[in-house]
Amino acid sequence: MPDESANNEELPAALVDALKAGDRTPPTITAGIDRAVTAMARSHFRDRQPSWRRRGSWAALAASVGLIAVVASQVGGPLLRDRADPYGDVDGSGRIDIADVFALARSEQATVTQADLDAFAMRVVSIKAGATR
Amino acid sequence: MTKAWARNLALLGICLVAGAVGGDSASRFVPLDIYLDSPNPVAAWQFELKDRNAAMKVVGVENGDSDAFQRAPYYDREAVERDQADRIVVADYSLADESELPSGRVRVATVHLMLDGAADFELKLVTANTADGRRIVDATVSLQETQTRER
Repeated sequence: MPDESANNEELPAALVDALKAGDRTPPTITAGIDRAVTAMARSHFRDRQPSWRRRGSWAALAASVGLIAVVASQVGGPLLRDRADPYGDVDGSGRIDIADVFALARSEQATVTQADLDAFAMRVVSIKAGATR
Repeated sequence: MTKAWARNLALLGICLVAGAVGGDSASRFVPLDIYLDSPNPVAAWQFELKDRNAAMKVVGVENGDSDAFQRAPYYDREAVERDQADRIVVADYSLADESELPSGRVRVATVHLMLDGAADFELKLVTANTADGRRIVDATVSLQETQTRER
């Protein structure tokens, strides 16, 4: 009996979805975002007294949820944008391209991570952001 | 991203596109090899590809032949996944030792396209740089349409 699926070249939708999901670009958390979140968390909890757990655990929980919501809404936004934004004309060529990413990578700055470099490079090639036309 | 994974991604794109092509004889799938020709070893490069006839849609990008650029190059993957890549900017850099960097004519990427009609490609080299960051002014970029390629 012939195998009817032998000539079927279409992949099952579930397999296609799974493969696409596996190849999805992971969210980029740069060192700048990491520092900003840490600073916000420290600022938020700085004035807390040790007794807060006993007196207002629900309030603390609500505040934490609120903080997380603010952080989530600001990823990539102005509050979390690194003040010393490295995503610029690093090599002084007058334009921003992969040479600037390369220059930043070569500079071996301790504060620049691979995630920073990847985020910078993705900005360089982004069509939406208006990469070179 | 490893070379094998990049190849698998390209193959997946081919499979997906093959299904789409079956229902529309006007559309065709085209792998486009992009070659960089440089008199000096290249540590960073960037090109832009578009079609003056607006007949192309980018469905994937594959890395080239050089061991110094093993991972998949940078490109706007979200635009490709949304089927909105009617042009593409592709770039990569390598921190490998200068002796390991490619020079001469080297395939730096293969752009997999879906063409709906005749294309009129416009390929522009944005930049090519040496290991010390200098721009290689004599570098050029060219393309070659292929159907099969030995790997």
